[in-house]
Amino acid sequence: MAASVSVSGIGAVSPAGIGLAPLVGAVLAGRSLAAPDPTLRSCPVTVACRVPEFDPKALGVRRPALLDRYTQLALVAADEAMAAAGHSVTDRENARIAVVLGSGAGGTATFERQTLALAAGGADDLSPMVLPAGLLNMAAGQVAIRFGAMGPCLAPCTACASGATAIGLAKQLLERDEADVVLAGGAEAPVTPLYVAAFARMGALSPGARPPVEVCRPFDRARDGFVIGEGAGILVLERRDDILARGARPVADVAGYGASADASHVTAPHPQGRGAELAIGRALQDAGLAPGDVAYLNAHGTSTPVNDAVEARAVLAALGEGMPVSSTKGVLGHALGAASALEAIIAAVCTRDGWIPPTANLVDPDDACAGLDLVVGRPRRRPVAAAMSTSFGFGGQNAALLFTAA
Amino acid sequence: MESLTVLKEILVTKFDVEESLITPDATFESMDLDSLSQVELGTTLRKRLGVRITDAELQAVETLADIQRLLTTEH
Repeated sequence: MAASVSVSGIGAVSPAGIGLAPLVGAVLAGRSLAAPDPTLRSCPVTVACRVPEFDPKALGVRRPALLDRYTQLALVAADEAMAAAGHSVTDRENARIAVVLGSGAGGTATFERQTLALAAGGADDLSPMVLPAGLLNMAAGQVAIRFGAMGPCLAPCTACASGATAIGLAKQLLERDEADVVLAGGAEAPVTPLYVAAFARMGALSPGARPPVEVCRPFDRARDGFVIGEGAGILVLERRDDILARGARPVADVAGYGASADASHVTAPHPQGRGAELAIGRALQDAGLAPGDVAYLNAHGTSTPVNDAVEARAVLAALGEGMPVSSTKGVLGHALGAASALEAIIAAVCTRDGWIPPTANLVDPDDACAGLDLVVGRPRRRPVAAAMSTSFGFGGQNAALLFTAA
Repeated sequence: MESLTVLKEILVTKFDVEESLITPDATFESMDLDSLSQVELGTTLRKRLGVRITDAELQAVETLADIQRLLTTEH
């Protein structure tokens, strides 16, 4: 039997602020953090959930001007996670520390700015840092540099499921004894003209006819698209026995991981939600648990008309009627690849602290949700023995994670 | 702004070089600027001051005083 894998530390940078505490406070409060974003003035959609007052230098990031924002966010979250796990930053190289850090957009802001510089001034105006700062695997590389982590270093991309995929792969690395400590999660900084305009052109973003804080309304009948967000979520994973042996306390156990593909359409979910259903089923199987064991599902719940309806059907099919469900994207917006890591963090903390957060702005549930126990208004305080988080990326790439109380 | 002031400001704000390290005899090594950072410095100086420092000229640079000389002679 594979060794049990647990979370030993958590770090979060989110629209709620720097650290796990503000993230938990915000999702429990259940109020949207969306606001007009001054950098999007020329975009068709101007509302976003941005990390407020993020000063990387003050937060210990070295030479932030040479890094993309998504890497800055990742480094700050990684520092918090390692400190919480009881591991300090040292100059020592350690071949048994691995990094699995996913992203969907990578350093898109860097590429966008440098493409404009190239077009305007030619190659001489192009920064030599464009690739070292912009590449999709650089957050993972920088985190490895920061902690002397010479184990496997991966940057999985499954679009908006990237952070969840990373955590699942990290679990497998530990089960196969390829590392002792894995920094796993996702980082994303896509509040940029290209990403916002591109999602807007696809009709994926809410056109924002309502006040910003009412725009994102997962599972609500009046939902009309997602609100883009940003952030980073990092979990330190270790084998449970190793955590206990060094006298630390696990936050939660990473009990199950399931992955699948829709193999159906580049952006629209499988019409019957088969891909989502498969991922959920595989996570249950990996954990050796039954649908009835799951006490809470933190849904992908983007607030797009299609996702939420299909996901509701898939959850009913895979987990049965009466499942307590909420989407914390109502509060945090959609940080693409980082969203799945931040939501995994929320699911893990639910099992430790015994609460279920509500979905912001959900007042009139979609018909497709009939049979689900949608959590609205206030958080529910109750023991959560097992919590699942689902994440679905463009490309039809799906991941489900199942955390159990440690 | 005087070119020396701009050079200093770039080193401090963009590359986080301690002000106490920014002396005429400072080298790229003493300021911990790798070859990519050196090219980035050249690109930034050109954008800010309109002074073109070629990669070859940068490679011949040994100290900050050399860069200052490049900035003033090109003016």
